[in-house]
Amino acid sequence: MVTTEKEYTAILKGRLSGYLSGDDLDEVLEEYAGHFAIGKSRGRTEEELCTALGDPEDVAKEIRAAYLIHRAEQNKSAGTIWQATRATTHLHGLSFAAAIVPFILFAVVFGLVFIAGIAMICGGVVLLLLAVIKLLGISLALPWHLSPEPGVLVSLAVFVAGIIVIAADVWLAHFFGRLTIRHLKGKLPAKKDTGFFSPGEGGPQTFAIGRDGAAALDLQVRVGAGELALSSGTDSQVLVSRTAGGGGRTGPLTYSSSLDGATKKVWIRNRHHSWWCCQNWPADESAYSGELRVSREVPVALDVRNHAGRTRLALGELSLTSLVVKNSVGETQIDLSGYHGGNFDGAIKNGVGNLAVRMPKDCTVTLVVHRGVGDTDVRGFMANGDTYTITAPRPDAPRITLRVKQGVGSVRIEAV
Amino acid sequence: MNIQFKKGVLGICVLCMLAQKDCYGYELVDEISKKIDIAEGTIYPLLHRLKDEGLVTTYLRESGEGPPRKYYRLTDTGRTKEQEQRDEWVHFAASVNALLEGNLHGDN
Repeated sequence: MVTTEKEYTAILKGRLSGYLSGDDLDEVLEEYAGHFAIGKSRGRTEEELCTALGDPEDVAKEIRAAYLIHRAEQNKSAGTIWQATRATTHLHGLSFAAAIVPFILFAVVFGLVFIAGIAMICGGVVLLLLAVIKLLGISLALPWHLSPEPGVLVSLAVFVAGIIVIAADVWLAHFFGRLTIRHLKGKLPAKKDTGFFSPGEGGPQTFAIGRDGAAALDLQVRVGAGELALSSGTDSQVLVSRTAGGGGRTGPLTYSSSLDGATKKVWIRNRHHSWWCCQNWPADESAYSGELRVSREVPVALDVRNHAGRTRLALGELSLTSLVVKNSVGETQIDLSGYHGGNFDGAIKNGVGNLAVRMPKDCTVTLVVHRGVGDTDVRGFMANGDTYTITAPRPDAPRITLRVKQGVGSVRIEAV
Repeated sequence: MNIQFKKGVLGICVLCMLAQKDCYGYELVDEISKKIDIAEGTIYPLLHRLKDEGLVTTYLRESGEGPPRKYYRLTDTGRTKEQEQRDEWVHFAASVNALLEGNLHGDN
């Protein structure tokens, strides 16, 4: 009989891990932790709460069922070859060209070296035959002079060199091929490679970028691989700050800033933002957590690109002047609910992964959706073809125009 | 009472409660378990399912005590569904009652 919250939670966690993704599991555990917290604050004991909740084994089964149905539905739409093909090209987004050019170069070089090797072997054989024939005293009308004894040696040397060249070429091609495959695999969303970002490697790294009297913010965030969370609320003189994640560990983000008139430009990047380095996925995404917070006091032009990893943007309390969000691979959540800032135009480009957007229903919103592969689910809008609109009751409500381009994966947009 | 039976009506109960006002998880669980004898822990997975089906959404709101609470709110689809299910239930329950009463009269 389970009588404490700790035991209860431990059983849930044990029965659910492996079935639910880390995020879903956290969500579930948070929900039950909240239940215990409120229950206790109302004078119920942990034992009473455990009994009322019911056998944790049964509860875990219910939860598993609830979440697995969801996953089955998602898989149904993601399993076709067409999608996989599209996914592979989409997967690389900007880096596709960067990946294909070296690939072709390698192929050409290895091909040429291979042909040269073959030519050397054949040449060696022909020379050897000629030398032997000459040695036997048969006279040949050759256009060049061949002295028999060194001729044998030279031809043998050419023959052996040809074999060595081909062997080296094949070995190198194999090596580079494996390297390429590892590089491509490293970019697959389901793949989680081990290594490189060992826990704590980044170390706790927080920063705060001062306002310096700026009246506007131009913020560009580029993440090569890793989780990106951005929300609002900083101290009054701070424009952008970075707090440590839940685990107290943060990834290696660097920043630079400059003041251009009344606008402060801030660039935030992670150190490994290059296509070549993406094979070094963080072993554990949480090792890369940490949150960016943006000031609510100045209008912000926001441009966020995440190459591979999860992106969560809570923008409801900011005042935006423009918004660009691009992801290559990974889940993206954008929450604009409760928005009451200025008018803005935005573009969201989704590569591979699910996209969820919450739009404020009391703003005047125009949404243009370019469909890709996967389900598109738009709720709470007036639909007219691929254009969806909300007309706010108040004429002075913020106006938002948003273009959403779906890559591969489900898109869910709702007005709340 | 049969557990599947209870689970079937649980969805309607949750939707009806949310039609009146937004609630946080504990509130829903507490209200329901006062009226219906069911393992409280099974209501949370149901909430998740309703969310997946797009009938409810969640948002966080600060509470006076402790961490912010996750509130559940009916979506427009949820509201339509709630009305449908409520009508169906009222009709169904009335029919069942009528039948049961008929039987009782028949027995007497």
